[in-house]
Amino acid sequence: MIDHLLSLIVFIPLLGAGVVLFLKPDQSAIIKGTTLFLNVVQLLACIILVILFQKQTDAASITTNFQFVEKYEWIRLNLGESLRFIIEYHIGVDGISLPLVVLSSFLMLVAIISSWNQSKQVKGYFVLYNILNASIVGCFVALDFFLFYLFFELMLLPMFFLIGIWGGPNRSYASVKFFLYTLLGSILILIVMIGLYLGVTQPGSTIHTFNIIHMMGTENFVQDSLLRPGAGGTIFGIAARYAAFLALFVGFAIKLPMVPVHTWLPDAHVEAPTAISVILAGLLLKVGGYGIVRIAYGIFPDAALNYAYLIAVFGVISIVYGGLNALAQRDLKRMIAYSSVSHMGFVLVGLGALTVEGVSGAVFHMVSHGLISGALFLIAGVIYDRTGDRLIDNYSGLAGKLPQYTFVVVFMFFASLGLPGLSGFIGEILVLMGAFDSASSNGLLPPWIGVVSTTGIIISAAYYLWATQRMFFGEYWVREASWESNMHDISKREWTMFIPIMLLVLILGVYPRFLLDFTDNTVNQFVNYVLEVGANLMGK
Amino acid sequence: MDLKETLSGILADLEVLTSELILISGSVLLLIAGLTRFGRQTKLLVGALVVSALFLLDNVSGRYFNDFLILDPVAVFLKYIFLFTTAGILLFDRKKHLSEFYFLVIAVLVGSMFMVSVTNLLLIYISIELTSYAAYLLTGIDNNQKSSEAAFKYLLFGGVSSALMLYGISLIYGSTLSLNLEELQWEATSAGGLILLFAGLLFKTSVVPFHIWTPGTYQAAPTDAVTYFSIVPKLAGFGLIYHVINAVDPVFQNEITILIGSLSIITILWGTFGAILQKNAKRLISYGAIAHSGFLLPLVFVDYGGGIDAFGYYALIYAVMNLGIFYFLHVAENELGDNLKITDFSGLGGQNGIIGASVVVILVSLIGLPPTAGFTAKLVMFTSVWMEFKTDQLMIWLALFVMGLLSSVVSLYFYFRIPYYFFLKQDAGRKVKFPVKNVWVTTIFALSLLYLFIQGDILDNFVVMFDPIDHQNK
Repeated sequence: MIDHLLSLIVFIPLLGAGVVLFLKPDQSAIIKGTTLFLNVVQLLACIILVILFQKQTDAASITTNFQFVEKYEWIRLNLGESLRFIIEYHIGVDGISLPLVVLSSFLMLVAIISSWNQSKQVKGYFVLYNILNASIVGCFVALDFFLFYLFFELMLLPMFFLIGIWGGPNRSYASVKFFLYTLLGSILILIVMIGLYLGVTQPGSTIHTFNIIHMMGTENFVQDSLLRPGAGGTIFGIAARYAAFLALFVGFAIKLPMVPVHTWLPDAHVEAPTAISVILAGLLLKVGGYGIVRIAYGIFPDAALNYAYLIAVFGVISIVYGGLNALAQRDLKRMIAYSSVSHMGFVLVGLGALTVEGVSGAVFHMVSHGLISGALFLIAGVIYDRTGDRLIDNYSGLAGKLPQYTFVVVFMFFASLGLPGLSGFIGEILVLMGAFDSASSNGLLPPWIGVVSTTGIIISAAYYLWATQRMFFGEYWVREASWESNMHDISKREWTMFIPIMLLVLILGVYPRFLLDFTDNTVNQFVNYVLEVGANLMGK
Repeated sequence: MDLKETLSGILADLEVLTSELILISGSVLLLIAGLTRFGRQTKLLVGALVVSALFLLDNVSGRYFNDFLILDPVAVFLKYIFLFTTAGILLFDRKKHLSEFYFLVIAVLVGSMFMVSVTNLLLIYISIELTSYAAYLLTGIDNNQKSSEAAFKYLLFGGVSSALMLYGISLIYGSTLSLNLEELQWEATSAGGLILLFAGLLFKTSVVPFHIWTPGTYQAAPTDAVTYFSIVPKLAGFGLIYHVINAVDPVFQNEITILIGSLSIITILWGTFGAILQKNAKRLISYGAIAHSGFLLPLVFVDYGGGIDAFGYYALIYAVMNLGIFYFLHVAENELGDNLKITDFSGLGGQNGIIGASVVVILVSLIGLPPTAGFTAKLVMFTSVWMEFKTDQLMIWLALFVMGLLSSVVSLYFYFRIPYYFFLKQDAGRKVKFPVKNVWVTTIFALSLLYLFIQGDILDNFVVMFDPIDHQNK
């Protein structure tokens, strides 16, 4: 059982999808109950995973550091001399993926509670929901590129329908835009995937492999591969390995999202139903960040070093541009969506810095932002459920009328803007430390990156405080008289979503070692690997 | 060699044509049965014919009838696909003209089975014309104004292209005094003749710029016939191109490479971008089928080890996908009326979730995304193209690689307009419920595409390591 714990976590939701598929459409209570139950089981399995996870391993390098590894041969094709490859069912976790696996199971559970009142086509909703759950978790644990790509693409379909059928008024436009943008990104990833598997063979044989760990070993590249380090080939005038890295990076950056390829995000977030916004912001964006770490950086450390500065610059642009956009929004949900763009910029800066603090901060920030942005979209959902309206200008002085709600909002706003003692602060401060430190330790980033990134915190303070002031303080007033009757405070169901998130945000803020203990070992090895191997390869 | 020896040789070689002979004689029986009360059992009879042809099909390679017939694993594999597709066509509901329809289908089938195993110019011409005439008649078989018009247009375009082809053949024969492509010596006239011959072959496979007939014919012809056109004669055309290219002396290798590569790119782009503008569902899918021609064409050409294997792999999955999507369109036509617009699907998703989900799977496969077999097929295809690029370093392959992949995004946009209307648009107040039988068949097509993805290596055993016949050193 323990041997297959990870598979269990991936496949429990698929089991859920199968069960729900055979229930009758009108048995909505059973459908929701089944999904909830299986998700709780999944979360329990994740907790067992956390308990059994060894924080310190004696593994020598990042490539041998994976735990709970399961590896089976899945597809073996023998078409002609060059078309020989095997695809493996190969999964495992390390300190970087473990927190994200747990986060996704947790947020999926929260999102089920959030969609508890869903009454439109419940069966279809929860079938798609379960498939989405499996594919997100699958993405975080896959160690075979083909398997990763499978889960990565599988995410798009349920998302397309979840936004397109259950979303807001402009849902069809938003869902198509989301689908096209992310598909464009995954095509870029696919191009590199083909180039990579053709360039990499299993050690000691001529059979091509999709194994990500083999791809990280430079000795596994075949002699005539364009992507072999030191092969010196170019694609459209750029060194082949650098071009491949850029394609991967852009592919994942669309998902992240990074300015200027972020424009799908505000539309998708605004139109998606609340629960789906939570998943979108809390988890799907993290898949982009995780992909950059595991795949782009992992396989092309030399290119990562080469482009570190560029990545950090785009991170800074995302931070500032996203923040200024958030400042200009009138729709609460749109403001939160842009704040996501801004906050994910910190992840890029942290990754660009390539110091232990920077990368730890990036991973920490991904988890923390997953929790916070999830809660922020729930907050927008709370007010939308009551009035069907999210315009900031349409409300004033809610603090007197809805004190509990105000408390939650202010708590989460402060967490997001980086108030010390809450998790957002730790992530941002680690990233900034990394960015400032980079100039002296590895010389990748100049100091101005850190300086300008810091303004992101100020901008986020501005839009959050301004929104708080407009919506919650002053004299009580709402635009429509008919909304008055619905203005009741947070219900018990809503509290059950907020309390665990708030507790986690607080725990991570007060005692960050709670998470950093898990990531430290892996992040250390990761940074060493990228710096050493990358420098070696660049020297070639 | 005296006459007796020749005759006995021919009689002995007839053995490899058992399947074809059974089909031909059976098709005559079919016509007679149509006149009697057995007419109602036509499908049963066709089914029996196809099954017996499948069993009698030998997996042999070699040269027969004094090199007039050349069999290799590629030919045999394609014949299996043709027979399976014929069996698939029987799933479609057909009420009128049963015996005539299946008679013509078998004519196309036999013509296609010959197309993939000949390199003699006259035989090429005859087998192509056999499939063409039957196809013209099939297009117009429902005998209404639209299909007659489409049949006539098809006939005109087809006539022009076969005239070009015949002219090319006469040029080749005039300059070399040989009808056997393997003996061809390259020179200006024969090269020109060969290009004209290609015009005829590209017409069958609807490669741009010889695709003009495709959307109109696909839109107006009966859907079961369209399904057949889009699979059997098309793949036969590719099989023939494969043999022709390999039979002729590779003097102009680079020129042909660039020509084929550019045609593939143009076909892919034309098919995908043309599809965006379509409002009619069958037209939309037909543009998609044109794009697929662009993916298949380079595979018969890439000359390193895996190319033709990739073709076999892609061809089989292509057949399943097309059967699936056209079957759905056929079902939808039965329920929603002919001249199916994409907007006609509005709001059907509420009551027809299962068939809708199956269609999504089939469309995802046509786009080439996981978790469907279409993805594996595209992966294998792009891998071959990439390998070819690495081997001969011609930029045209890299361009094909990138364009082909990027076109997936566009194809997502147009293919997904069907589920978009199906699920995302509001109900127009109609009550449409697809019959359970049709839902099941569509679901089986969808499930088989999922299964072929998960068990990707099962096709490995089908695509027997193609060991192509060596045309250069016989």
